[in-house]
Amino acid sequence: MNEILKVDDVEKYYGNKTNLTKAVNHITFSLDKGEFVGIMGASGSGKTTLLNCISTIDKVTAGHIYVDGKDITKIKGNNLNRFRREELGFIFQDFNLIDTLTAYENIALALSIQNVKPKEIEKRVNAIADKLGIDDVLKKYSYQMSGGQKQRVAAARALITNPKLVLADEPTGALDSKSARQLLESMKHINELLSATILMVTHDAFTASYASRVIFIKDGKIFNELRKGDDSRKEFFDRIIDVVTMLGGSLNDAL
Amino acid sequence: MMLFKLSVRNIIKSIQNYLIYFVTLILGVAIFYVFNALGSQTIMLNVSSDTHDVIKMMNDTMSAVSVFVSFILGFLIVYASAFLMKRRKKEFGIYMLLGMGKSKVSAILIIETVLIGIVSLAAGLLVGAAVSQGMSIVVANMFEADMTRFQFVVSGEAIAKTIIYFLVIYVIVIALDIFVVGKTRLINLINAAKQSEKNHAKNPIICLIVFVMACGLLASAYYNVTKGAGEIKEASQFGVQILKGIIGTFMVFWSLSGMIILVARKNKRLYYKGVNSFSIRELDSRINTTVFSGGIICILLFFTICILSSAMAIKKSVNASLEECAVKDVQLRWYISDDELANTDINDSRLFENYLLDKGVDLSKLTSDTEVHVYYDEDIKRGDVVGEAIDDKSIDDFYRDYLRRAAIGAVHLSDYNRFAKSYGAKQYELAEDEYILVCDYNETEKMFNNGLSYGSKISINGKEYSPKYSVCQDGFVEISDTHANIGFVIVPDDVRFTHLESMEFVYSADYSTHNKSEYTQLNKYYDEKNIKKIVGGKEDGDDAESIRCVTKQYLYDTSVGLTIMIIFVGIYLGIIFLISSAAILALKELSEATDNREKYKTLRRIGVDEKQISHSLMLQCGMFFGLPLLLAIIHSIFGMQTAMIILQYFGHSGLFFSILFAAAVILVIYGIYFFITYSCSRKIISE
Repeated sequence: MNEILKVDDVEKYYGNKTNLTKAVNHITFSLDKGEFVGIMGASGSGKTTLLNCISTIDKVTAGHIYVDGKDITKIKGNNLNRFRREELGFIFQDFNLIDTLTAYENIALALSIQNVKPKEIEKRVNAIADKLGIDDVLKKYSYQMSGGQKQRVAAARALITNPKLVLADEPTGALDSKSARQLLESMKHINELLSATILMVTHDAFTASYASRVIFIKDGKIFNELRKGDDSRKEFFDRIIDVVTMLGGSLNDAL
Repeated sequence: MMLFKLSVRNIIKSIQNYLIYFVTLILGVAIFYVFNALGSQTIMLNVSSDTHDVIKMMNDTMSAVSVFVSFILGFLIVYASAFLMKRRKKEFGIYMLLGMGKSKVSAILIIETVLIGIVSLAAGLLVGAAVSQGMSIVVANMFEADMTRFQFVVSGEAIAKTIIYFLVIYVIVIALDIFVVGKTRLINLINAAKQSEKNHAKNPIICLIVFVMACGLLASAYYNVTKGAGEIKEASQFGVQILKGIIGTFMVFWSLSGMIILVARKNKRLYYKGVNSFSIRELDSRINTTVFSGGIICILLFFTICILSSAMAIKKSVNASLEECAVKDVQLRWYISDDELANTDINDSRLFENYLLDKGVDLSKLTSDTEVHVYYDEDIKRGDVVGEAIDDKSIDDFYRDYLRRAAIGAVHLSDYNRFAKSYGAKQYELAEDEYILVCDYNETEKMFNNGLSYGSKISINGKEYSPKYSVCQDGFVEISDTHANIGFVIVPDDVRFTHLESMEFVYSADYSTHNKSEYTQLNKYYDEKNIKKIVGGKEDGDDAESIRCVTKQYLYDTSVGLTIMIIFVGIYLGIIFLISSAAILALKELSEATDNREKYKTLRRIGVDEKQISHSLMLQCGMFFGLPLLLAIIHSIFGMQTAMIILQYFGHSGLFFSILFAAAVILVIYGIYFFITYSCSRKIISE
C-alpha cells in the first residue's frame, strides 16, 4: 500500500505571544491509498483546522504535510490552486453547490476548470451520476433538490476529477438520518469501487462508523485511534461510542 | 457617545457598501451646486446686456429643473439607503437581541445619516465649487465673453439652496429608516441574512418567443421613427412609437436571461470552458432579478445619450447657422408704407444711407456697405409663386388666404448681387423675362419648391417672368441668427414697380476696425435703442419707429444664450439620469457580491485560480453594466435621427462630434461607478 497522505508533526497556533491557542498540537498520522478514515472530535478540538491545513486553505505553523509524497506546505500561489484542482476533492457540510447552476453544471465545473473537453465532461458526469444514483436530478437546481441529493451531487463534484484525496467536512451535518445513511453508503461504495482515499471529519459516531479507521482528537492532540478490522459496522460503532464515553462529556455535548 | 462610536464604526466597517452611496451623494450635491451656481458664475463676466437677460432666464430655468432633479435624487438616495438598510438587518437584529430598544437603533441610524449627510454635503460642495470654476471658463467661452475679470466665485445662494434641498432629502431618509426599524420584527431581522432570493429560471421557449416579439416591436418602432418618419404628423403618433420602444425594452430585459442561457448552452465549447458556466449563470440570475430596473436604466441611458448629443448638436448647428446667416457686422432697416412712399424718390439707390447721414447717424467707421431695396408690389403675391401648389392639402385655408393676399418682396438683381458680393455669396445672372426665388426657411422652401416645379410664372406690369431655377436658391438680405428668409424674388434691374404697397431699405456694413475695444464701442453705438434715439431725436420717437438695427454681436448673444441654456439643462438632466442608473446597477452588483461570498469560497476550494475569479467577476460586472448601455446605444442610433428631424437640425455635420461628447461623458461617469463596483466587489469576495 502506498502512502497518499502523511501528516508529520503538524502544529497550528493562533493568536499572539500573550494569548496563544494551540489548535493543532503535534499531530502525526498517515493514510494509505483506498483508506476511508474518520477524524472525530468535539467542537474546538482542532479537527476542522487540521482539515483546512491539509486542504491548503490554511497554513501550518510547523511540520509538514505530504500528499502522494509531495510536501504541500511548500507549494505557493497559483500552484496551490492547481494542487486543489487536480489532487483534492471537497465535500462540505452545507453542500456548497452553486445555486445558479444545475446539478450537471455543478459537477461539470470541477472538470471544466481543468480544461477537459465538453464531450469528455459529459461522459464522466453521466458515469459518476450513475454510480451515485443522481441521474434524475442532473437538470435540477439546488433549490429543487433534497439535502441528500444535494450532498450526493457535491460528492460527485468532489470525486469526478479522480482526486488522490477526498476531504469531507461534516458531510452529514445538515442531513436527516435517512439521507445521511444513503450518502455514507454511497461514499463507502465509491471508496471500495474506485479505491478513492477519503478523509472525513465528523463529530457523529454513527457517521464515523462507516470509516475503516477513526482518529480521535482532543485539544489539538491525537487522543486515540480505532481500526475497524473485521468488525461489523455495528460493532465498530459500539467501540467508537466507548471511546467517545472515555473522552468524557465534551463530545456528548456534540452528540 | 456609545451610539456615536457605534455609528462611526459601522460606516467605516461597511465602507465597501457605503462607498457607492457616498460617491452618489457627493456627485449629486456637486452637480446640484454647479448648475445652481451658474448665475453667480456668469454675473461677473463682461457680457452685453442682452446676454445678461439670457443668463437671468437661464437661472430661472435651472431653478425649475432643479426641483425636478431634486425629486430624482431624492428617490435615488432613499432607494440607496433603503438598500443599505436591508443589508444590515442582521446587525440590527443583534442589537435588538442584546436588548437595545428600537429607539436606540433608530438613534444609531439617525446619527449615521447625519454623519454621512454632513460629510457628503461638505465634500460635494467642495467638489462643486471647484468644478463650477471650470464651468465659468466654459460659459465664458460659449458666450464669447472676455475673462479679464475672472475671479474665484462661490455662490452663497446656491450653497444655501443645495443644503436646504438635501436636508429635506436626508430627513425623508431618516423618517423612512425609522419607519422600517419600527415595523420590523426581531425574528425577521435575525433571519434576514438567510433569506436568499430563489432563482426561478424562466422557460427558455417562452423567453425566445418574448424576445422575438420584443425585437419585432423595437424594429417597427425604429422603422417608424426613421424611414417612416414622414408618416408621422402628430405628436401622439410619435408617443406611440416611444411607448412601443419602452415596452420592447422591458420585454428584452425580461427575456434576456432565458436567451443568454439558450444561446450559451448551444455553444458547449464556450460554456464548459473554465468558469464560464458559472459566470454566465451568475450574470443570468442577476439580469433575471433586475428586469424592471434594467429596463428603467436602459431607458434613462437612452434619454441621457439623446439629451447630451442633441444638446451638443444644437450648439453646433446654431453656430453653423450664425456663421451662415449673421454675415455682416451691422444692419439697419427702414420700413415705409404706401403713404410715405409718395414723398420718396425710390429710384435713389443711396436713399437710406443719405437719410441716415442726414439724421446724424455716424457711418464713418463702416466699410463694404451695401443698400438693398425690397419692393412689395400688389402685382406679385406670395401665392403667385406657389402657383398651382397652393391647392395642396398641406396648406390650410387661413394660410392659403394669406398667401393670396400678401405681396412677396422683390429685389433688383444688381442690388442683390452687390450685397451677396459683400460677404462672398453666390451672385446671379438673369435673362430679361426670368426671376429667381430666394428662400432658405425650411417649411416655406418646401412649399415654394412645390410651386416652382410647376414653373409658376409671375407678372409685373403685364409682363410675365418665369423662374430661372426649379428650386429655391439659398440666400437672404436680412442678417439673422438662423435660416429665416421666408422668400423674395430677384428680378431684372429694368423692372419698375407701379403698384407699391410698401418698401424696405436694408443697409448692411462691416466695421472697419476689429480692435476689441473699438468693436465693443461700435456695438454699443449701433444698439437699436441708441440708433432710434439719434434718428428720432428722442428714444422711440415717431420717426424712428420704422427703423431697425441689428448687430452681429446681438444675434450671437441672444441665440447662443438660448442654446447654452438648452445645453446646460441637457447636461444637467443627462448627468443626473446617468448617476441614477449607474448607482442602481452598482448597488445591485455590490449586494450580489456580498451574497455570493460563499460561492467564491467554494470556487477557491475546488481550485479555481484568483485570475479566473477576477476574470469571471469582470465579465459579470462588465456585462451587467454593459448590456443596458448597449441596448440604449442601439435605441439612440435611431432615436437621434428622430431627434434631429424634430429639431430640424439635420444636414449639419455636428452630430458625430456630439455623440462623441455624449459618449465621453457617459464613459467617465459610468466608468467611475463601474470601477468602484468592480474593485469593491473584488474586495468583498476576497474576504
